[in-house]
Amino acid sequence: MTSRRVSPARWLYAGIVFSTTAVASTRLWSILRVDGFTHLKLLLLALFAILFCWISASFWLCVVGAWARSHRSKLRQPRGVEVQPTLRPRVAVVTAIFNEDARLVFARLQAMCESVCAAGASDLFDFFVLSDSTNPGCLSTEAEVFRALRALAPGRVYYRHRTPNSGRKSGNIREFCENWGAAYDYMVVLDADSLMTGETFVRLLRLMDANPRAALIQVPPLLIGRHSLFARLQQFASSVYGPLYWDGLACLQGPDSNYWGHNAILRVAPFMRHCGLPRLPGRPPLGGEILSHDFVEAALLRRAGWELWMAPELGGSYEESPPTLLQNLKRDRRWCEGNLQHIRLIFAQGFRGSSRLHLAVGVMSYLSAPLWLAMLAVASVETLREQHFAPAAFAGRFPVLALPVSHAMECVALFLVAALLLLGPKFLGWLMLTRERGGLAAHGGGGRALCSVLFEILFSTLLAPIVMISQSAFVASVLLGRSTTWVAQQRTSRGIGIGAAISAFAPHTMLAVGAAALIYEYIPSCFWWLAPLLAGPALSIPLTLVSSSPLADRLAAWIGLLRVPSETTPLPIAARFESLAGRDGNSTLPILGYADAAPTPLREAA
Amino acid sequence: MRPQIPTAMTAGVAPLNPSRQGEGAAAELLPSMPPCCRSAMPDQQIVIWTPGRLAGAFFVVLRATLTSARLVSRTSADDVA
Repeated sequence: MTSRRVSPARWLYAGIVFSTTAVASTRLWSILRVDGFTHLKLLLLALFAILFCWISASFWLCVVGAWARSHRSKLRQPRGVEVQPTLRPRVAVVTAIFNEDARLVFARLQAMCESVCAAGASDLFDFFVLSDSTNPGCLSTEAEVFRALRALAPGRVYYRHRTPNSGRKSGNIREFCENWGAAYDYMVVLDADSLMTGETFVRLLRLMDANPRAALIQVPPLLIGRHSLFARLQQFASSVYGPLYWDGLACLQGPDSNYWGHNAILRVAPFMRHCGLPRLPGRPPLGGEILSHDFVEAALLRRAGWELWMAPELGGSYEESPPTLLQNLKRDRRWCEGNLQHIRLIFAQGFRGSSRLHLAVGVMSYLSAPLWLAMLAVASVETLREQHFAPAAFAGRFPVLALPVSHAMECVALFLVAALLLLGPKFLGWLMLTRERGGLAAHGGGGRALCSVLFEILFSTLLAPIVMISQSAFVASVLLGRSTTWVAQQRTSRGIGIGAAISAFAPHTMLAVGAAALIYEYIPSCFWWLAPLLAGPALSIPLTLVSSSPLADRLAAWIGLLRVPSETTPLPIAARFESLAGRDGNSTLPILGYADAAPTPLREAA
Repeated sequence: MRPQIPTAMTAGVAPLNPSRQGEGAAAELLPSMPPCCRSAMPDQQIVIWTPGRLAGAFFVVLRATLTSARLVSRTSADDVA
């Protein structure tokens, strides 16, 4: 249905990324070749080229995103955005849950229902909560809160629980489709922590009506609503840097976009026809049920010729970040297993090049961690080896003086270029705020926003090596055949205890302290270069405690650090959810209080 | 003509599924569609690389890398001599 031609913009992008990589790799090659190549040096060069290409792709994607944001009219969008629907399509809004806090799930649902009613589209949308819960306490709360919500919203909200919960989330959605999918034209898939405004629901519906070849439109969700320093950092990054990535992706991908598993609208018929996921041959973790189903479903839809779009310009799409680094890493462990499973699918027959690229990027998101670790280890060993060579060479049996050649300047230049690629998007994000009306004010003003960027850089520099070590361990554990279990996520903003922090991050601390001692002893010239990388893991326990603390979040809020627009001007839908859930001060409201919540446009609509 | 959600469900008075009554709080308030309204989602065929093929490709790449490394190393050693 759509052309397989790669657009010139993509060729240009690929050309710039590979040229940048080639130039940097050539510089490193010229440094390494002076004293002759060894296997270690070749390995170092290969790792450097792969990782430089990785960060270069990310940097140039942000540059494209910045360009796209400055030239809104040139964004490639589904055509006919303003076309009014001539039919009255029916849309199922499905939220798949597993042992979640039902009060929060249904509070979000009610906030969204009310927003849809306010947008005048209440008759088009049916809301479904699809439960896979196994915890008896969760199940009884789900049923009880559902009944309370049904009393407010008759005819609008449905709840279903299934056993057994085969296929996890994708099996849950599949079971819904097989039972009730034929009754609907479109399906909006949400996560338990998703929020979407009624206006966005309606615009998505209209976009689907106007684009009969589109099977999916993804609206990137903005992170909001969590109250810990870690979440605040994620929310700030999502608000300032996220739009650059999203616009860059939307600009380059066009109809070859991807599916992120939630906050997206799908055309039900093609989804049912083409997205029944098979079990992969072999045993878990690399075989069995497909865990990260979204990328594969996107690839299957593209294989069948349907278009997939990303629409970051719609806005009104939100989700929550994990509240702590520990929770973030637990989620990473699951995602890591799912994404590494895609190694086997990258070369699957019939997939389009763009889908293969999506799968490969997903794999690389986790494989890059052990590659970084390997590069650091190889570089350290090579430096150590070089140090133990005497600065002399032999001409036959006679020693001759060989003056050591310093490559310090070239190395510093490479380091600075790498730093530019890593940190450039962050400053670019700030620059884009200065160009947008009210952008800086929404983030606390120009000075505060810049200080927030610097603080985020400092904190993310400390956190990145911790994540690198953890993800390397995850990759190793998956490749060793260890599978993860399906557990519910923590979605409340309470901090973590010192015992949990020590048990989770003691290995990181010991590894960093041990590595620091070895480096200081054997290659002291590298110690200060590597100190920023060692500091994070060495301080991982206090860093985790501080970053998970709601108190640190309140302190940051008080001084206006890492402020985001949803804080400056509260979002009505988020405020309504907070009020329904009674999350002010992180308390949870009893069910009776929830049912008594007012006002309730749904009651009027009913 | 596409199936419609039954009135019992839209009214929200669907009883607990009798077969699930014994499962404590497992309240299935939304009963399954009648068989005539159900539509299957067929499993898609995905032809993937087997571990054997992946391992083979890996060793081919590894061998090529090691061979070229030895060549380059020897060349640079010759230069020094």
